[in-house]
Amino acid sequence: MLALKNLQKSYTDAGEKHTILNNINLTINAGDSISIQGASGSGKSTLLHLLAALDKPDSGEILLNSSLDETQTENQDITQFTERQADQYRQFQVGLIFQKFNLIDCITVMENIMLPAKITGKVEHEYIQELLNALGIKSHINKLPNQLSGGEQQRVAIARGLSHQPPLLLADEPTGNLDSKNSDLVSQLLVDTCKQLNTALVMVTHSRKVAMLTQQQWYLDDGSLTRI
Amino acid sequence: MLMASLIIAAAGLSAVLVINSSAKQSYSSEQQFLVPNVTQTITSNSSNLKLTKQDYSVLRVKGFSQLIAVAQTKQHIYTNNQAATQASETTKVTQRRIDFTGIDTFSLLSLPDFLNPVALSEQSNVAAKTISSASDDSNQLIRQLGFGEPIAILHPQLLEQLLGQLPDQQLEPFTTEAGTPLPKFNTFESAALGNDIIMDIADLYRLYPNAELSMLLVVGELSKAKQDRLQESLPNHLQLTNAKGAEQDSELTSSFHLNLMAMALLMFVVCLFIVVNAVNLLLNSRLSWLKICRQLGISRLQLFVVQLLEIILLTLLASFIGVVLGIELAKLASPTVQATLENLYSVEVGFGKVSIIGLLIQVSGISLVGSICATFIPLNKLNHQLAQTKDVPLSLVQQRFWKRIIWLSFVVFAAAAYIILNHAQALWLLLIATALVILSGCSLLLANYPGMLALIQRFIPARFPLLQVSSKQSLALSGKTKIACCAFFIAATSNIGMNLMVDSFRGATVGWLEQRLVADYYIYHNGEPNLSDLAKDTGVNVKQRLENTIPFQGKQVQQFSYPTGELYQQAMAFYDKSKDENLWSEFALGKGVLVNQQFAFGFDYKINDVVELPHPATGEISSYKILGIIYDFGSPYKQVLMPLEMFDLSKSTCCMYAVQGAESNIDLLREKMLTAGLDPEGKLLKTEELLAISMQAFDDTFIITDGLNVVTLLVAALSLACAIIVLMNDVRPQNMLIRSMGVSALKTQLLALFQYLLLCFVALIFATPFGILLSWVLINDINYQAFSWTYPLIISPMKILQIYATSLLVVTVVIIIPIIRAGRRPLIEDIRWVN
Repeated sequence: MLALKNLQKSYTDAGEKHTILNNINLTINAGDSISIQGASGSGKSTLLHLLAALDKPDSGEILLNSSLDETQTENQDITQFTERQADQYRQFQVGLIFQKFNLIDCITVMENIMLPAKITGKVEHEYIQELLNALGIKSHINKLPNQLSGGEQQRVAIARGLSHQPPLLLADEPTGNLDSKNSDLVSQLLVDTCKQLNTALVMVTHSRKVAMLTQQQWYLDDGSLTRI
Repeated sequence: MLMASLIIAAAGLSAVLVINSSAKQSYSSEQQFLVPNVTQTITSNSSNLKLTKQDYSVLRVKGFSQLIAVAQTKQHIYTNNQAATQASETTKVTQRRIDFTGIDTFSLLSLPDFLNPVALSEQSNVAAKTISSASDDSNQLIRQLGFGEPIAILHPQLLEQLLGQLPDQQLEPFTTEAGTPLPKFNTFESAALGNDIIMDIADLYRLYPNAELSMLLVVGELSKAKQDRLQESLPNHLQLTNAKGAEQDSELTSSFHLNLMAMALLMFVVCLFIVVNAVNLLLNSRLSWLKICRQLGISRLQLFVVQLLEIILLTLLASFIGVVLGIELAKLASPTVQATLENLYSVEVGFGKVSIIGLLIQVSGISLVGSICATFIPLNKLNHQLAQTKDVPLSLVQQRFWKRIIWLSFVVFAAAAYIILNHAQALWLLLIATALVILSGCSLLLANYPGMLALIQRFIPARFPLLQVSSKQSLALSGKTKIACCAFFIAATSNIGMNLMVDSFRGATVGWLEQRLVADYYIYHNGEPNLSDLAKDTGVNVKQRLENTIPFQGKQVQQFSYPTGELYQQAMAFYDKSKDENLWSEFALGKGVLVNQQFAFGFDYKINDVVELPHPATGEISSYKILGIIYDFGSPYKQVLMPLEMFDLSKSTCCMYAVQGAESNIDLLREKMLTAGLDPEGKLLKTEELLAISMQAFDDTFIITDGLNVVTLLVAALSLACAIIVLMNDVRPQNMLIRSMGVSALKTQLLALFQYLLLCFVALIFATPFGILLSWVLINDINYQAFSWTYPLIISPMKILQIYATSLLVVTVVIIIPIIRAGRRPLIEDIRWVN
């Protein structure tokens, strides 16, 4: 689905060049669940941003399989996307989950969840019901986000990230703001739901316990990505 | 932003205070006739016989040495045209005629008060320091004229204006039209100068031989015996009157002051809204530092005091800059203000002296009070944030409580406004009622914002999910931008109110002029020859307007003639009239009179009331029924119209003639006028020309109003922009989220614009009825009390739509900058910032 080839990324601080991603190679297939661990500042989030076409690498390619985009006949390098293409890619191919849940306060839980589906025009009520059931938030759909607990809010954020049926879900520290009990519950739900929907999951986390729930565990250190 | 808003507020306030002060000084100086201690004046009471040099010399020979002649003429100023091949060609420098006044300084200086001349500096600033009163000003002024080479004295700002109108690189002196150089200009900073150029009477006659003696001033008190002797010595065509009373002018001054002050305060208040938002912005950006200070053990009180002290210092600095800018602004605006006042009140206004220290104290005081009040809300919020009090959303009970409070304030404001408008007559109280009307509108807007936005949301189709979300965000934003929305509402209401008022006034004036000006031509001519006699053999029908000034209830009233023919009956524009079918026959028989609104409202008369007035010819007091109240826009005078047949030409003056006839006959009249030494140019005006001149004067009068309208709207939009900048951080996570879903930056920017324009649109919807109400109050109460006239309110939907478009455009222009800046930021930056 996505193939990262020789990805390089560095930044300059006080005239000194720091390489945070060095020759990264990774293949993400449909339905894979991948966790990326690493110390603070190791480049985990940067890697996730590259996958979401939010940032561009210094060199290397991220090839998007043509089977995911019916209008394309050959693989596309998302690092070469224009802003418009990047927007389209995020709209249809990617779901994003953040550490802070970032729910829109003024609309209901259901409206929050339905928003990406409505934007892409892919509203399938049966699928949404399935999602609500899987995440256990059916009883909260008419509430406002500030009426929910942290764990419930992150579950809504997961549902929102999946509502438009993206083939790839990118989660940046999804349990970073939760206590351990909620963290276990939410991370389990996240992995299970993605498996159930055959959605590839790339999750950045500090927690080894959360990482262990995924099929593949990778560790980013000194710019290099190593499978654990 | 904070400094800018404080400077704008201080500059606006200072400019208005300077203009007010100048107008006040000019009014008071008008009563001094430029010469101190004038107790009486001698003027002509006939249009046929004027005050002449011979009258003056005869009276002085009879021993009345306290009489001083004053001659006046209105002329353009020219300069030698360097580009012209002939040396005699001149170029006009002035846009409008300047008053040249000649004073018989030789006679004046022989009076005891002027026997001890003082050496004067020619520099106005030095002179200004040595003068402490208007009387001293005038003494020094006259002394300058009486000694040494011929000079002309004028206010430095008038000279500055004249120099500013010279062609580039022009160094030639000012001249008359014929190219004769004017005397050397000396500037003298005194409000007594008004807009005049003063010179010795001999110099005036040398330059302008056709200048006429306008009056003789009686300087100093005359004994009773001497006064009686003077009265007896006066020929029939001259009258001795006491120096002009100050009553009317002071009335005009106070209404003018009040109007200008109200507008300035409106701008000042709207500026304070910006201060609130700017302080909010400032404190928000410092919040993290202030929190660190708290962690280091600095108390909340200390932080509070430091922030307040900083704002006080900034306010003082801004006040100083604002005062300097305000004085410059007043100088720039002075030609327009002068034109406005001359059109509106028929009073010449000059340039006043301003005490910068006094002005600075006034402006700083007001600004300090305003900025401290405006700072209270953001500082209070900061206090809560530093105390780490959790921002708990209001419970349903609390929400209901506040909603009731807002509704209650609406009812209280509206009721108070209603009571004042129905029972009060003082202008300042009516202005307070106007403010209450606007405040009640603010309350109603705040109480109904959520309901109105929810209603609008229902009309957004489901296929536009982002628009639906944006409209819901508008609802949330309305709670956070209450102050800015109120500022916009106030500006929009004032804008609609003022524009509808001016439009109605314009419509009423055009209708009134078109109805009244039925003759083909009008001639403005005072004195000999009488044009009715001149037109006898030309086939032209000439109706003259005769006028007297009569005392009525202790005030001066104009008594005008009005023709009774069918054409002129139809031309009369009534505000109210008697139901009696015989109105015109009663008028023609001299049983009743027509009065203007100024008379009826000023003396509280209604139709069919009876007034005691002197007969225009015999002076005998009789009773007359008020048959009609007529429109008379633009005139500050109370007026009574009586049939032309009741007047006696030898006892009344005539300044205007209505002329009707074929073009060929008019040409004959023109020729006769030329033969009689009267230049028809400038005196014989076609009705269309007169209408155009009148409407030009009207438009000039409202330039200030238009300017203030736009400034107020701009300031309100700035206030909104400040609020948006503050809110940008609040809505950043939500915008980031929407963009992370693949919505383009442009779409996000348009959605943000939609949100704020929706808020403004709702404010405009609420501002419309209140603007109309404000316009009604301005026309029927404020105008009634300030000017003694009213007119029908014309509600033009096109005008309202135009205001909608202008307001939304101004808002778009101002808020687009922060929105574009936010939209151009890479999404990755927002994601990093949020997380």
